[in-house]
Amino acid sequence: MTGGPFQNIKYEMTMFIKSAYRICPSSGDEPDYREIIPDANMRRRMGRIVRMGVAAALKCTEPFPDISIGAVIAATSMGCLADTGKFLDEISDRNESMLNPSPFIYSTFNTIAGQIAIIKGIRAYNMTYVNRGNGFSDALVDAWLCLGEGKDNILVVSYDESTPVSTAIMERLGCNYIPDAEAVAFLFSSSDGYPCPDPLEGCLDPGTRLAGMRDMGMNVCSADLLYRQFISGVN
Amino acid sequence: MSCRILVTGVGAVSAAGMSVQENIRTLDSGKRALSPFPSFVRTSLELPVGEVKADNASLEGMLGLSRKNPVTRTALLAAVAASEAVMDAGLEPGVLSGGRTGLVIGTSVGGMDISEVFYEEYRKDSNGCNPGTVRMHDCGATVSFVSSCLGIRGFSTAVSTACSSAGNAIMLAARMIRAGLLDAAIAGGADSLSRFTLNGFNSMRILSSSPCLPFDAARDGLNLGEGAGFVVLQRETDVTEKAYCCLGGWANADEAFHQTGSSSDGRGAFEAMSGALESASLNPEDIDYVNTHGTATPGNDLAEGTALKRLFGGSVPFGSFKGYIGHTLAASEGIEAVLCAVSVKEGKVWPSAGFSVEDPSIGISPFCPPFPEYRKIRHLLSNSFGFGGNNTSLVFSAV
Repeated sequence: MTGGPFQNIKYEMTMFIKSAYRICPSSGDEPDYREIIPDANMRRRMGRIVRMGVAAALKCTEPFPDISIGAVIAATSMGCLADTGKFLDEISDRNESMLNPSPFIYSTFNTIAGQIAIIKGIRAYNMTYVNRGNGFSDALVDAWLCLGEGKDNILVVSYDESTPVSTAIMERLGCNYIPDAEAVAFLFSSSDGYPCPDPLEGCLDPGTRLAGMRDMGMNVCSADLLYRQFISGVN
Repeated sequence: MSCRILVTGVGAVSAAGMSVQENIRTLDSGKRALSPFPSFVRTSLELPVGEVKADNASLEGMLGLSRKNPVTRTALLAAVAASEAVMDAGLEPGVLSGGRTGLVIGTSVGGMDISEVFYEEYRKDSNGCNPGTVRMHDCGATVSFVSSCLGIRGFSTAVSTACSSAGNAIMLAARMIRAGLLDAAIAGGADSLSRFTLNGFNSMRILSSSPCLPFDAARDGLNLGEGAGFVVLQRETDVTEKAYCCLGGWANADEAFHQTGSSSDGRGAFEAMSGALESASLNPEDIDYVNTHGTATPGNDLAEGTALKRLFGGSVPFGSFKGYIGHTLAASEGIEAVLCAVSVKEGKVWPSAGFSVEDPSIGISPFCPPFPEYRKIRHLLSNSFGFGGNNTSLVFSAV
C-alpha cells in the first residue's frame, strides 16, 4: 500500500468566505421563495425550516452559477422541530395507522443537506452536525478539513427553528434558545474571498465547547455573527 | 508512507448481545436475534424488531448510574458500547481527559424514546408534566452524557445523516486524527427503537412483517433494530499492542437522486465504494469481503447489488448483518464496523442470514456457507447508506 488516505493532503490555516446569505424572518430578512424554489409542489412539501435552509443555500451560491460545490455541510442544534411535532401528532391522532410519511421524512436531521444536494445535483460529500450550540463550529472544522483534503467551494448551512411547544419547554427548562427560525449559508474557499477567523480556535477549546453544550441558541447565533462580520468586511 | 490509523478497541450492544463477545457467540450459533414484536416500546405495531434484551434500568445498572432524571435509551446504549471499546483499547483516564481524545457519535433517534412519551402527556396536560424528562431529547445530549461517562474533555460531536451516521462518524474521527487535531477518537453510533421510527418506517411501507431476507428474491422490507457500536481509532505511532485492523480508506458521496429512495443503478453506492477504494489506493480485486448495507428493502438491495456487480464483476463475497440484528439505523455501521474489525483480525466471515433464492434482477448472491468460515481477509469494504442519498464506505485492512 502506498500513501493511501494520507496522500495529497495539505492543510492551510486560512479559510475564505466567498459568499454568505441569511434568512431571518424576525429581522425582516426573508426572500420570495417562489423565485428560489419554483416547483410549487416541492415548496409545499418542505416544512418552513427546510424551505429556509434550502433557500439560504441556493441564494448563497447564486452569484457563482458555474462553480462545482465540493461539499455540503449542515449544522443544527435541534433539527426540524415542526415536522417532528407534526409526525408525533399524526401518530397519536391516527392511532398508529394510515400515517402520512411526509413529516417523518422531512423531520430527519439531514433533510436540508440532502435536499440541497438533490436540487443542485451535488454528488459530493454531504454531512450534518446536530450538536447543540456547537453544531456550526463543528461544521466549520469539517469545512476546514475538506479544504485541506483538496476540495473547494464548501457550502455550510446553519439552521434552527422553534415551535410553540419547544419554546414553552425551553422556557420552563431555563435554556437559551432562538425565538423564531433562522438559516445562514456560507460558501468557503481555500483561495479567494473574505478571510474567515481561525475555525480551529473555538472548536478545540474546552471552555468554548462547554458553553456551546449549554446554549442551544449558539448554533445559529455564531453563524449570524460570522455573517455580520462578512457583510461589514466586504462593504 | 505516512502513519496509519488503527482500530485498537471495539464495543457493541445489539439484539445479539450486550458485548462484542456475546454478539460473536450469537453469530457463531447462527441464531437470528429478532423478536416478533418490541417489548420496551409503547406501540400497537406488532412487527419483528432487533431489540436489545435489557430494559433501561438494567442498562443503568451496567453503568452504575442512579439518576434523578431518566436517561434516554440511545444514550445508555451508547455509553455501554463506548465504555467497552475504551476498556478494550486500554485508554487510560489521563488520555481520555487530556483533550486530545475525541468522541464522535452518529445518532438519528437521539432521545425520542422519552420525548414521544412526554409529548403524549403534554398534549393532554401541558402544565402537569415535568419537562426535565426531555432534557436529553437532542442528539447533542447523548454526546454530552457519553463524554461525561468516559471522562472525555476534548472534541465531541454528533453527526446525523440517517442510516449512514456511524460510518460518517468513524470517517470524521479518522480525518481529524489524520489532520493532527486529535490523537485518538472513540467513534461509532447509537440508536434505540422508538414509536416514532417504527411508525415512520411503517408509514413508508418498508418494514417487513416477518424476519428480513437481505438480497433474497422474496425480500419485502427491513426489520428495525437498536443498539450501539464504537471503535477506538489511534494513530499507528501511538500504538504498541496489536490492533484489530487499520482503517485504510473511506468515502462519502451523496447520490443527489431522491430523499428516501436509491437509484436502481446504484450509482451512489458505486461512487462511495469506488471512492473508498481510491482513497485506500486499492483495486477491486484487493477486497476479500464486502459487508453490505443490505437492509432487505427491494430498492436498497437492488441498487447495492447492481453497484457491487458493476464494481467487482460479481466475484467478491458479500453479506449483510441485518438478518441477525435488524437495521439499527444510525448505529448500524458502528455495530458492523466492530464486527468487520473482528472479521479482519480473526480472518472469519459469518454467513449472511435470511437468504435462500437469488433475485434475477440482481444476479448475484450473498456469501452463505452453512457455518462461519475462516478465510484470509486482506481488505474488507463496509457500506452504509442513508436517507438523502447519503452513501458511505469504509475500508478495513489487515495489519
